[in-house]
Amino acid sequence: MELDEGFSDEAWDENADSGCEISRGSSPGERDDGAVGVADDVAARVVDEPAPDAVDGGGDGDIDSAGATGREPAQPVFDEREAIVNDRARGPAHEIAVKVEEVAAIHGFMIDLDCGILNPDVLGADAVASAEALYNEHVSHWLDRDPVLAKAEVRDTGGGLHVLLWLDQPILCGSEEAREWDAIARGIRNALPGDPSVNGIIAMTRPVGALNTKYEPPREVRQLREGHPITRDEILAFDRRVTDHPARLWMTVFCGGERVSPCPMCRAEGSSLGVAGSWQCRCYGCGRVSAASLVYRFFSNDFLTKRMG
Amino acid sequence: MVSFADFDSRGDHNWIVRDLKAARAALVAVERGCTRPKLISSVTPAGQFIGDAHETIFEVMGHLRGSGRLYRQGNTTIFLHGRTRPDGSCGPTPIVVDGIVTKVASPIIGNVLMCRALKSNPSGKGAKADQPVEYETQFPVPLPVLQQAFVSDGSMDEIPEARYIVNHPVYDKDFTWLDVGYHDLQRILVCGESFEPVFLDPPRFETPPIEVADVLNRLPPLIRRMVEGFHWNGAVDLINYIGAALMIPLMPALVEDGHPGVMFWGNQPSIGKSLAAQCLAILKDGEQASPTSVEGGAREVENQMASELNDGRTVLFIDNQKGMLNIPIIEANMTAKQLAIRGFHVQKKVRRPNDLLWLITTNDAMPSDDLLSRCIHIRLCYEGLPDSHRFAMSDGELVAFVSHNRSAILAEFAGMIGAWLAGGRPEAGSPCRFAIAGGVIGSVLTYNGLSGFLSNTREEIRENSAKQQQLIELVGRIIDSRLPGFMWEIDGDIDVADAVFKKEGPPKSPMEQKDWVPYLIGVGAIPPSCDTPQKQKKAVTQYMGSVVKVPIEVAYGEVTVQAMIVSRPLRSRRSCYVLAVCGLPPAPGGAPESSSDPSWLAGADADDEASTESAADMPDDEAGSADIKELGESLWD
Repeated sequence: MELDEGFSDEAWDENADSGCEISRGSSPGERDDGAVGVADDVAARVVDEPAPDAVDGGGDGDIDSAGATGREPAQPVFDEREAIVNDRARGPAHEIAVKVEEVAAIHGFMIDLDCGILNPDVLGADAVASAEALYNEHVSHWLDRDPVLAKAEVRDTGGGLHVLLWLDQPILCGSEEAREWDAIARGIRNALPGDPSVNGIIAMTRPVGALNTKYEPPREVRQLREGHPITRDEILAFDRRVTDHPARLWMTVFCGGERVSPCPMCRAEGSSLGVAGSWQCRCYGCGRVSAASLVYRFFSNDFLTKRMG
Repeated sequence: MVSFADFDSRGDHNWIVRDLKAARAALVAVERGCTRPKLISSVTPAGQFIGDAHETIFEVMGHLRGSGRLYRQGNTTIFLHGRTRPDGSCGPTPIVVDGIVTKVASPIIGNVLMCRALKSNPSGKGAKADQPVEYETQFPVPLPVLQQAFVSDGSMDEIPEARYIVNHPVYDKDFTWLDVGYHDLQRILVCGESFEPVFLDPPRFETPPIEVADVLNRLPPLIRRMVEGFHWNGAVDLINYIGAALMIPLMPALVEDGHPGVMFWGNQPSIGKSLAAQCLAILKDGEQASPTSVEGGAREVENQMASELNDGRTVLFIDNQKGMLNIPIIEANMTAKQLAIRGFHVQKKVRRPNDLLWLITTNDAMPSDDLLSRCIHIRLCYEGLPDSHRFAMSDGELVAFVSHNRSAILAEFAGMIGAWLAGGRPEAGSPCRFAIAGGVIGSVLTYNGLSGFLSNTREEIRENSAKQQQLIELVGRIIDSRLPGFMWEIDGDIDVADAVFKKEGPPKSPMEQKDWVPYLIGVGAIPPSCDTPQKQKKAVTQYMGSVVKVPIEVAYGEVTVQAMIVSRPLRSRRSCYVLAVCGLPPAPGGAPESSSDPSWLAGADADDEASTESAADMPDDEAGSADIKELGESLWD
């Protein structure tokens, strides 16, 4: 099933799991660039009807029927999500999702590192197979290298990591400002190889202790790193560093400094890659490369092929 | 299979570059405190529609309505400019006047809505060699598109109407406090800083204030600080000033019935008239008012007024006027419920409720009677060289104080009103041409221990009205000469003199219009251009019609004499007039012999015969009734 740009894998899976269908027709939620906001998909287009291709086959929406899976009958298990905007509601995605225009308070920003879209040749097979391994082998180091990212909370959601930058005080905004903050959130997620399909400010995390029912058996969401709140000014300064000098930020975060040897691109012996401008890095072996390549290389070729569409 | 190297190129697939560019633009917008406009791509820079025009118009109006910054006021469509919300320093800017989109509409609307188009550079040669093959351009919504959108059927239906747009919280006509935001029920848009009325416990005073210090002691602290440095002529002047300021938070309640202007008088220049007026302007609009010149005629005045309104200002400030002050366009609009002003370059009139604050300052101007009767009069007085006086604060300090504490000062004024409301709205209004303004403001002031609002109006009109001055002179001359037939000495109530004069028969020697001509020429009430009997009669009739039954008081020696010109119709559409006088002491040495030929009387000889003729026409069958005897019988003797 092919996804339109702007559709969240998460939301798509969510609706697939829950036996819902998503209409792709034009709607008032259609963005100016032609893409469709996921919030509209989830909030406005979710139809509570069981789909024939529902994963659990039961067609019972977000409720993972224990009886159907043969597990010990107990309380129904919800695929619980946690909003990071407005009142930080918790519940099934289709119940707590809001449109960008409906956001009045922003409590944090999220980067979704999905193991399924990362490149095992770059990060290693273990890191792609296990979110905890991904964190221990790579992400924890990346976060430690930046003063803002170092304050992030990290949750293992079963199939990936949610890197959460919580604000000390919510940012209050109107509908117009919410669009700006959504763009800022989308910029921030590119500080790390975050899933580009996930929303900006209306992205939802999973609460610690909840079960991710996309997997069988469901996986419990665990906190891998305790976060510390950051201020509005810190997030704006971080966004400015991401947008103004991404090469410097990515080299520092991913490579530990503004010059690394050998060059992570060509890996030639004796080569080195260094920052050569706001958007450029330079290796005397492989030449000048765009700084974005430092991030793109973390994504699997399958995912990039699908994105290139 | 695609690799990451393939993403190192331009295009929508390069989401990192796209996201970071968008994030950077958003960051700038957030740091500036304003948002970026939405973009539509279905119009060309020339104003042509791409695809379905109706759909594009619907989209444009939807974006504008959705911005929450578009309001209707009168025949004008207003766009909140400067801030995205009513709070802060946003300014309402007219973008459509009576269906005509103004020239500034496109760039102003560009704050929320812009157009974009893709341009191609297929050759990649010449001057455009560095440009990409395809690049985006953005431009404001073309005027033809906006014009079409604003006149399309139903386009204005969902735009909220803002009957009043004020930049501070106010009371509505039901005395409900309206804080910042749009109030659908009252159709009032309140912009500016939010505040609540400050309820101070007003001290109870049983006696009216006598001195300026008494008034100051009864004022809330910030208001007192604002006004204590001025040289008020008397307590009533300061009370009037407080009353004028109370119009600001009460304006929506006063518009329907009209509200007075404010006229500042001074005994000499540079004693703070303009500063006192500017303090009111700052309270009203948040900034000092720019003076409006009355030179250049009514058209120019209209242009300036329209300019002030288009700038979102609601204060009209006419500063330091001299000489005759007769501006019909201002007199007409000052009392109107709705302003109707034709602006510069606009063929249509701007119509909106009259919620303006009209401020006039002068030392020695001669305003028309209409203007005098439409104003609250505030007199400043300082004896000595103007440069030697000192305010409690310098001009700049006072302006800064009022600007900085504007909300707090307005909150104190609102608190005075709130206290009156909480006290059950006891009525103690002041007599005023504008009943609601005089009633409400007078009651609020009286409740707060500041009685006497507008008590100087009659005196100010008498002192400053050119017509009153002419009348006083005329009365003085008649009394001095004690001309028979022109003066009727009475002993009773002068207010009933006219009724009695009309009720009883004509006097023995009725003085008609032609008899009064030389007297009126002598005091300048009839211009010299009236050089024919017909013109003179018409001028006398016109003048007498404006002064008849107007009670006046004139000083005669040590006593004050009450006087009133009264009239009664004669046959053949003629009228006679006489000056009724009460309290006139006997003339020293009896009545002057030369009463028929006073030295100042112009053309008296020519009228002697006419006077005799008119006396012959007098019917004498009604003379000598009881009422006449009660008041005085001299005319009928």
